[in-house]
Amino acid sequence: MADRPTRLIFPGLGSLYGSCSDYAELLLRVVAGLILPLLHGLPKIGILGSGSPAGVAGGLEKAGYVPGLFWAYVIILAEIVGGAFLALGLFTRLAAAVLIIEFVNVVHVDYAARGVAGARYSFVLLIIYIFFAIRGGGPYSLDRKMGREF
Amino acid sequence: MTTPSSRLYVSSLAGIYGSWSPLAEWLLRGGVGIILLVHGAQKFLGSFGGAGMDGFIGALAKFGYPSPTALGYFVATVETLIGLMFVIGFLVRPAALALAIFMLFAVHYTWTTGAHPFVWFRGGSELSIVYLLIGVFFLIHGAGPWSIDRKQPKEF
Repeated sequence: MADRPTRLIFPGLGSLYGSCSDYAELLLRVVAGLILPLLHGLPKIGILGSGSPAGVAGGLEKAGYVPGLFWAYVIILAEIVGGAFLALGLFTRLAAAVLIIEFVNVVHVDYAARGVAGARYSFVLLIIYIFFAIRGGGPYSLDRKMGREF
Repeated sequence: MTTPSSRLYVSSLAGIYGSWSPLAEWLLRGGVGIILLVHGAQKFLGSFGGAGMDGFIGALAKFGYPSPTALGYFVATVETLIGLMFVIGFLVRPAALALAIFMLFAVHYTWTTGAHPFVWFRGGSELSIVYLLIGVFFLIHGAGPWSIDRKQPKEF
């Protein structure tokens, strides 16, 4: 990290902050990425859960996303592939950009259905994806290993 | 944030990534802060469909926490303070440490009481886990450039 402050109240913590900062960012990215396929994307196709694309499509059509089955598969693909790529740090910014587009819509639908309380989780995920869309995968990512990134 | 433009497929984006990086940190910190203020208001005021203080204290008591009334007011007060400190970027590392500790308990609570251990809309722990990691991130990373902390001569 560039501008590490040298004016800490406990200067001894400086090296700890410096050496762990990238790991903390990695941990946040991996979990915020893996949550999507493991808890949301795969359950929508009946893996690790009991959802089905047709069930997802019904809810989507009610919210105005027609044809629902098309958008259901778009969301399932975005969550499984986008979430996995974000966790791996592979094409990090592209994956984050896809998830931003999805989650702007999720926040909108959640807010319309259940207000601030219902939209707060999707909002937190949205700002995490914006964070990684700007900052990229960081030192511990496949992007960095490949040497090229978006 | 130093992203050598030679590594980027679209090298002209390097300037945007660099100059927007403080914005990304501020958006994450401030956004989470605002949501924590919402959590505080749900408890203190019962707003945003919250359970109010009685509901929150009742939930703590049912789960078996000791002195739920005092604990309830303590948690709601500290949660609101953390939210405020995150939004303005003041004493962010102590606030982030408090957030991470609170969220360990929140993960335990939602894991145990939820209809699903993880899935949020079934009462699970995923949002608490995300808050926990955001707390760990800001505990180590600090407030970042756009903060009161950075304007002070010293910070934690």
